[in-house]
Amino acid sequence: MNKKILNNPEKVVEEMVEGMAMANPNRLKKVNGFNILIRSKKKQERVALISGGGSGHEPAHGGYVGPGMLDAALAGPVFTSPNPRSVLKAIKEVKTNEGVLLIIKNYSGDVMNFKMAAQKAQDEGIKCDYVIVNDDIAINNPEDRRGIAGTIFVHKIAGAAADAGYNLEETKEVANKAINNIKSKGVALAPCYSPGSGRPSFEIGENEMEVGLGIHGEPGVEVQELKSSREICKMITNNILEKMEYDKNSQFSLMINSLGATPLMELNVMAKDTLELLKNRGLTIYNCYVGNFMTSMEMKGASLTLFKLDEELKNLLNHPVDVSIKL
Amino acid sequence: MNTKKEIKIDIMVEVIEYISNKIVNNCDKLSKLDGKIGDSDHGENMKRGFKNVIKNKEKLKKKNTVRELFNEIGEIITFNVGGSAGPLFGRLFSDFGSSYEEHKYFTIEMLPSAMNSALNGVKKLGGADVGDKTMVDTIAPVVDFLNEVNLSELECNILLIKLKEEARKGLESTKLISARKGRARYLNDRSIGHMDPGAYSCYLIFEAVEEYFNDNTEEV
Repeated sequence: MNKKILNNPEKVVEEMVEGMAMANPNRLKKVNGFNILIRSKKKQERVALISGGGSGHEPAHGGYVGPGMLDAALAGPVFTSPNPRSVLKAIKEVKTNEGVLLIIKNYSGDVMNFKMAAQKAQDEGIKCDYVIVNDDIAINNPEDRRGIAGTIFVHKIAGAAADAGYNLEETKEVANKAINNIKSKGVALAPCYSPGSGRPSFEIGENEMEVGLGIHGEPGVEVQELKSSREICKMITNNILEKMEYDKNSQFSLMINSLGATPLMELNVMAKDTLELLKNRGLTIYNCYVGNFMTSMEMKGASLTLFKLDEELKNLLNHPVDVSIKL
Repeated sequence: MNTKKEIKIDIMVEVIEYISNKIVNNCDKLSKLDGKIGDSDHGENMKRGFKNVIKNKEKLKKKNTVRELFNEIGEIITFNVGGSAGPLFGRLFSDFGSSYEEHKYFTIEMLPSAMNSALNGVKKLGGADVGDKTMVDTIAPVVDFLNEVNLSELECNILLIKLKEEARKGLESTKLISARKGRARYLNDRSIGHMDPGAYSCYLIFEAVEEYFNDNTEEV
């Protein structure tokens, strides 16, 4: 189970970041001495956007650097937040007169390191603010909710807003509006393995699935018997809709995301099931994204994200992007 | 004991090196603990950070004041450990020394206020309190003890043993509770029965300090 194509586990992040830059020379550049990807052509006179976190979630976040989305992405050690010095370096690399917005996933380490860097940047006179994504409704208390695949929607909305000339405050505001409208939940069927130790991220029985599992292998809310796609999609969609305010006129964007090892074949079965059951409830799906957007190395499983749209969000979501993965 | 006896910067760096080696040598133990309630990388992260502390030994010896010394140690840890442990252990060290801008040496007399400041820094940064199953649970009983005790009535070797014991008690208490901070909080009650790895790392610091001074015959 635990076979990997690697040279040296200790260098995996650095080599991956170099590889992404080399494979996308017109789009991406690696910052010397840091595991940071920035755009080859820097943005001017618009708010700059930075995201990042521990590695192991590819294509997040380097895959989202480019026109229409992020200006920089940080890759920390596997599942470990980057340190404040790297975050500050990224801020300095991409800062504009309009300021910098950090998009942080809600994990203690990420929040702590990114906030420290934001503070340092402010102390040095750089306009810098942040938003925290907490779309994972597997956790009840909203303050404790983790940031998972819904983060990609926030990248896209904030990226479009920045391009449209929103200032820092307005970009933050619309990003927060999006965050409030994005809810996700996932199931996991098999663990991922640490490149260093080779240890599995969690243990699970042959015919079981963890419901609400985190993208670092944090145990979910409960272990259940593995069910059919239709039953899984129904359970998750119902859970998400319970936590959302919407009416018959609401429109949604849907994301079906693989945690790494679950193939497109299965994701598309899930897409069919989810779209059918949303239609049967009389809800309008504006568009649908199916693929690997926020993974957990080779973890088997998937997450569903619903993003409730209004006119402004819909327009921003339509803004074209040019990043290394198809969106 | 004479609570005013001076511990100079170069001796403090020796102690820090001893602490760092202890943490590096316990890497597997820490990662195993983290495997129970986290993502089993705490040991590797701490090892990466404290190896850097050891690497910078000569640079640290050139620091002029207690504040400068601990600030540098804090920076090294923050920037090399990563995750949440980086900033938290970094703050523990930097705030330990933050009040001593003029001091070219440390004395036992300064210990209560230094430890209070370190604890408050960690609490403020991480938002954790006693009972949340974090490193705060290890430090808080040590600080409580220091706030109560009359240092001049205690021999140094006894004091260090006491501090280690208080830290151990705090560490053991994390076994009995479920996490309310950090990634382990997602486990709810499934974290009960396991010690918090951050609390264990923190205990190792007190164990190392006790060993360093009590195993070296020279009196402090």
